[in-house]
Amino acid sequence: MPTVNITIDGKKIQAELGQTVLQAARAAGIHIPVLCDHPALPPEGACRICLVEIEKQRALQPACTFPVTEGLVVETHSQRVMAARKFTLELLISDHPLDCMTCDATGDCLLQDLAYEYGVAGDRFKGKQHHYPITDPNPFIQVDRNKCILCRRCVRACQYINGVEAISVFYRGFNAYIGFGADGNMQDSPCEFCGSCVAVCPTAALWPKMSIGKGRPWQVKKVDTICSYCGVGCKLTLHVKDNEIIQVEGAWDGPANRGWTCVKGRFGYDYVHHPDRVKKPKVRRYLLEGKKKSRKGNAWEWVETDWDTALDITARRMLEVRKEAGASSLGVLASAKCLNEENYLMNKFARQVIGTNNIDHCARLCHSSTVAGLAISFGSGAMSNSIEDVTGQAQAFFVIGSNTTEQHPVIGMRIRQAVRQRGAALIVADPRRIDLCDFATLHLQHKPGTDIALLNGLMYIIIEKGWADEKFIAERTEGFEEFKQTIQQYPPERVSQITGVPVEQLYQAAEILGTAKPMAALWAMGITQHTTGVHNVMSLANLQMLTGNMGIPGGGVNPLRGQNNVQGACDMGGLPNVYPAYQPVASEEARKKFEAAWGTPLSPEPGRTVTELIPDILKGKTKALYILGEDPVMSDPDTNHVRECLEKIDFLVLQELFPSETEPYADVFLPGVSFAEKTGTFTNTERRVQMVRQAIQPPGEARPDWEIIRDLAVRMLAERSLNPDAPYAGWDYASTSDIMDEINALAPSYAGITHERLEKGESLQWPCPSTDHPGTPILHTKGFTRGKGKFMSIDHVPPAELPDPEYPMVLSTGRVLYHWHGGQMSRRAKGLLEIYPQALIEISHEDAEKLGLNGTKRVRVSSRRGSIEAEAMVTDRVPPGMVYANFHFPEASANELTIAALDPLAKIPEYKVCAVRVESLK
Amino acid sequence: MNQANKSSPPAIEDPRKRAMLLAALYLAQEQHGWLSPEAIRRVADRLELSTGQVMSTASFYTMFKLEPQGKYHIQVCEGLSCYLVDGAETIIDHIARRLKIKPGQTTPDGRFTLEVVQCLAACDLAPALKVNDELYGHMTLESIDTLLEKLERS
Amino acid sequence: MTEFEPVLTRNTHRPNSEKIATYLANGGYQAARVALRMQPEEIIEIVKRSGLRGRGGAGFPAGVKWGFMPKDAPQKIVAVNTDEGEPGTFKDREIVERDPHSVIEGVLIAAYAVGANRAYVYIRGEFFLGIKRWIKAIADAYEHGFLGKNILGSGFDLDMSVHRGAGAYICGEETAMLESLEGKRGNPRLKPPYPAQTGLFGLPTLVHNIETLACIPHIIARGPEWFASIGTAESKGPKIFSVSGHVKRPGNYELPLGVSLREIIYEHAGGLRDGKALKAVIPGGASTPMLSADQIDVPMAFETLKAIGSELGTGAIIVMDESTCMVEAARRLSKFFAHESCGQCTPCRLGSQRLYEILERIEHGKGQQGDLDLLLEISQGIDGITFCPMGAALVNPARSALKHFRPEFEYHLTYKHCPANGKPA
Repeated sequence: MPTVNITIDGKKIQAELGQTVLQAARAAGIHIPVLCDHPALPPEGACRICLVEIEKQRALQPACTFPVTEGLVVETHSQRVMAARKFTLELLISDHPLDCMTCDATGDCLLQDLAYEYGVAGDRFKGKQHHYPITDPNPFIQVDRNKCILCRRCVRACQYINGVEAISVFYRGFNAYIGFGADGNMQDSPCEFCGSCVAVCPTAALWPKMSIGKGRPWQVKKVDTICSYCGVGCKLTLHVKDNEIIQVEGAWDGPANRGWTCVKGRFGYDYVHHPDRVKKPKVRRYLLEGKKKSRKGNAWEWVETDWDTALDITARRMLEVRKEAGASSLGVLASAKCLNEENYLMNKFARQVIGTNNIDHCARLCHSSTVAGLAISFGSGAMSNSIEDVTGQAQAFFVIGSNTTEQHPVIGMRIRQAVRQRGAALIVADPRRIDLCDFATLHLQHKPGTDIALLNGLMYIIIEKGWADEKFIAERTEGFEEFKQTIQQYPPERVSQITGVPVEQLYQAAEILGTAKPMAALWAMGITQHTTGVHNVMSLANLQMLTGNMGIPGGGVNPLRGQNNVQGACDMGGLPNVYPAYQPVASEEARKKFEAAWGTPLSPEPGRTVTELIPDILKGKTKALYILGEDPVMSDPDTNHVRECLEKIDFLVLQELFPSETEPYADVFLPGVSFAEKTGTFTNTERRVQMVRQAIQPPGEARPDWEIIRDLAVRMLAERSLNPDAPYAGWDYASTSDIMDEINALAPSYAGITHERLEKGESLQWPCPSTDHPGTPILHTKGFTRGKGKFMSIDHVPPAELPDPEYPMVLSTGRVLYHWHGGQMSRRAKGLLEIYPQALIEISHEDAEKLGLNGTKRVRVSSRRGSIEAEAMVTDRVPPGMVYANFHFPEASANELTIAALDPLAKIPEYKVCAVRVESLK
Repeated sequence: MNQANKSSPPAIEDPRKRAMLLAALYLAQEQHGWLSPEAIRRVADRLELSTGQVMSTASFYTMFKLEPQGKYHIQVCEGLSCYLVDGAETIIDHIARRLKIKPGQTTPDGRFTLEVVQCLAACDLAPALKVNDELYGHMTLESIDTLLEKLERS
Repeated sequence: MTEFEPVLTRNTHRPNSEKIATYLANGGYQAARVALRMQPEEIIEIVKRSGLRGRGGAGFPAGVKWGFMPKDAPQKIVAVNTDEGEPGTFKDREIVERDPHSVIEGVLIAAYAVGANRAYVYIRGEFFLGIKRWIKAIADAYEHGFLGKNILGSGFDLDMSVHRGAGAYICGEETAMLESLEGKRGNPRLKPPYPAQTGLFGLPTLVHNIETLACIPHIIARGPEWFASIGTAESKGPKIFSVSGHVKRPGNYELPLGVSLREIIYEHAGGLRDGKALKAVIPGGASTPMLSADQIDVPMAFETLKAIGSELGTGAIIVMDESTCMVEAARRLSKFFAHESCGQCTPCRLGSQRLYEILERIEHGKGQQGDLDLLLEISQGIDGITFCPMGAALVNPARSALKHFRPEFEYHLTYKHCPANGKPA
């Protein structure tokens, strides 16, 4: 950018052409006061506070909109400017409550700061003042229009950050006010409660309800950390007072979110303080009394006990089971919600301490097919690009099987803005008409379970039209000819017949995907949770190789990982077939490395997955499970069967925060702590490792999970002697940083990622092979992990259970914006529960009419596995013939209905398709 | 409260459709004399805009009525030129007394709404008022009575 | 008394003047024929030489504005501003209702000169009759080949449509009008960029008041020198003056620029009613500073009014006699501006309200000592720091009334009643 020389307050500075005076001043550290301007929003020039005196301009000019030119001379605090500012402030104060003493914004209010600086003590004009009632009933945001200065930052935030444009100005002049939707309540508007408006509001006009009266800005301790909900990995700032989180803000310097966040991150934190938090370890009475396991009467009562007792009992029982039935009869579930360091310990615990590779976690249920599929196609199974380059540079987005605006809200917002502001094309492929479709260039509404046919069909057209990137294919891939043969079997007419997508749309979509470059493919559960999950993923890899969109900014394969640390849990070896950093268990070299490190022989056999471990209980193959931060009863398919199995298990140790749905089946409950009560790292969906920092003390006697695992391991190793030369045989970790040191040594992709570097402010994405390596934003830029990318020939195979006369409708399942998975956290966040208090079944207008749904609208949905009753939500989101349910509420969980049909390679269940019958309840 | 079933966020606006908004609002208003929430929704659907944008825009302009209006919408100019020749309040008060309503209100039988407007660009015909779309100039208290009687009878 | 052959209003007294037949029968569209055979650059030169200045209030030289339009942009627009809403102004209503074709012809020539193929006419919503007649006029113009494709065989296309405003004075500001044409709230836009660069739908747009455009056919037909021969050194051409208030004959009077205010009031408009004495005059519409009775010899032109601290504005003359309470006059006008504030910027949104409220309380006998200084302070404060020029406008009634009639204001404060008309405050 060419530069110009300007003078501000006598100081000569260089500014970039295209900047405004305000931007140039900020860059040079010169302060110009503002009210309506915000660095994250486009300027308005309307509040008139930033007026400055500019040589040769007759009138004062707003610095926020005035462009710099060569030789500009600016005075920011001349007499004339100060007088103008003071006058404007006096006008604002003349219609503003003077209740700074009890106002929550005191100390954090731009208007107050300016009034102080310019000596505006009160109202000189004695005119009319507004007295708007403060009545918006939503649980999150207080709307006090009396404190609104009509700077319209909120209007712009809702337009340029979130994008739903729920906020507008109504009426005009003195009686203009800010309103939501069609001038009603916030929750009746398109508002998603992301809170961006609250974040930018300079006064207390918009303020978090949960924070009112909780403390003054100078009384809080601010702790930066990472959100505990989804895989975007928003950097958040927790405000802590008296060991309580009283407010959460998005951190403007967060690399993944840049200050944006969603309703769960910003307002769903209070689960941490919920009274349901288990504060002491507890064991079933039979264990204390040394009796045989009985799930009846007194014997099954929970008894609170001390840590030593609980851990002693746990260690003893696990060793007993191992002695009786062998190491492979035990299993360990790591946690996609816990720290990398803790997951690493679970992997070490399973392998070194117990002696089994039976370690798995909920990634099995969500992206195991991604990991497996991309590992075959590319040699490495992670999101290849970064959120920044994908959302900032993609000319086209192909979003398939991802309800991005609800599940990865910040990424959804970014896509919305890319479409709005850059004119990027957006193709959404989803059987449902999800919110993302509202601004999509094209919505391919294909039938559930027909993704392969759809993708093959699109690739057929891309090849036919000559849009394939021949250079890329020739230089960087193999297997193209065989793949091409398969593709020839998928002409548009056949594909249209299979998928239900009109031929014309296939051509339209293929043209965009084939010609827009770079083009990014994003996906989530709609692709992965199928019996053909691995094949679905490989088809997407095929697409991105075919179009040459790999290894370039704005392109790539971008599976959106669900949990806050599911990526990390996988990276840390929380999987049955790999050690940390995906070193295969079956590889002799890898095994020998870990044997040498941990000082004990390790099992060469890959372990069993969670979708096998639990059903295997009934076969007698699984005798004991140690579960960290997982709730299989809520998250695994076919709940009745899961319950049946867990009833029969010999010994179940559950380590988590709350009495979950799995808790009734546990023999021992060890209370761990939340993300706010420990320090360590999470890895988000773009492979970025970020610091999680302790902000508060845990309740009662709950302990950081890594300490619990460590203490348990020490007990279990007490009778064993490990190789004294093994550098990492021991478990004497004093902090998670110690654990990270070990990870650095054993996991090559994490070798250079240390707490020290992260604390210094470095932002690191693996692979990061050494401490002077800057991390890797984009994978596969020069070559694939396996060398050349492999085209795979994939054929369409229908889902395991399709509708039939007895169960004539398709059930698809998933999540909603306001809740999270099994709902253990989100249902204990007061606001989230209030705004979405019960399970809802999405059903189309046609089907609702056929069923005669009126009045109470309750329905019973039944499958071969079970049935649930819930309220129906009649909507055009689902096509006729399909219903959609979520798994957030135990009383009506979709998983009572889902089928445990697994992808043969990844063992991921087909949550997205099964057959159900729907009846209206009168 | 069913948060889950809220209206979808707006699609990206088509500027050509947005440009038709004022005309569409006039058409919708013609049907029932005012812009009910239903009318707003219909306009929004037709032009693929959000109801929020439609309401926000409609509320800016005084000629769009967001409350039910009487059959005869009397708009009396209170501008300087009308005031100077015994228009404005003299007329407004007279009508208000006669109809027993205050400016801004509608008679209980729904026949008349009395509104005070800022300027009708009819200063040569001052004192001026409009009834619906018809302009009446050089009004006197007598001619107002005559007019009201005529409207009451129709 | 100046005898002046009407130019802009030459048709308006004819029966059925709004019909195309009448317009054609009286030489209508002849200028367009001539213009469409000239080079566009020639026409711009002619308009520059004529000295025509905008009649919407700002007085910007029209030809210069035409010259700002980019030569090479593929799509350009002419936007016609008929949002006349300035209290005291009704000149545009006359043209709209009685001679719409004169404007269509003017737009045609202007559009041809700047290369615009689309014209948008923005008429204030209250002009119901005018809108109906204009729609009919446009239809007739299309039928006769004065609009549409290949107009008069020139190869030039022009489409025109009418768009109804909805009761917002601020939409008379050119960028607010563009916002309204785009279907949005009528908030003025940041300038620069100016409409000639980025106007309606982001396209280069020429915005003009209809009176300005109505001059164009005459400039072409009779030449720029003829036009420049009318008026003063810096204010050329005929002007329609709307006269209202305490005169015997309120109405529109077309006269050359430069005629004295005295002549307009006493000779053309018949002088004051009921033998009353003149007290104050607003010379150019509510947003122009008022003049006292001893200032009425001023020639009505841009430069002469500026020289005495006022403005020509729209040339709308409001005459106030000795019975007028100046506080009430100022209050009434300030109320207008407060009501019309778009609300975008702090000083106007809140300042206009506060200004009005102080005048309200002074008028109702609740004024406090210090209120007059407060009025001045607020006026001084608002002027120059608002987002759009309405800030400068809205302070003029109060400021000028206070300047000329301060004792009357003080009387209200001290005695709590009005000295002018004896009415209790």
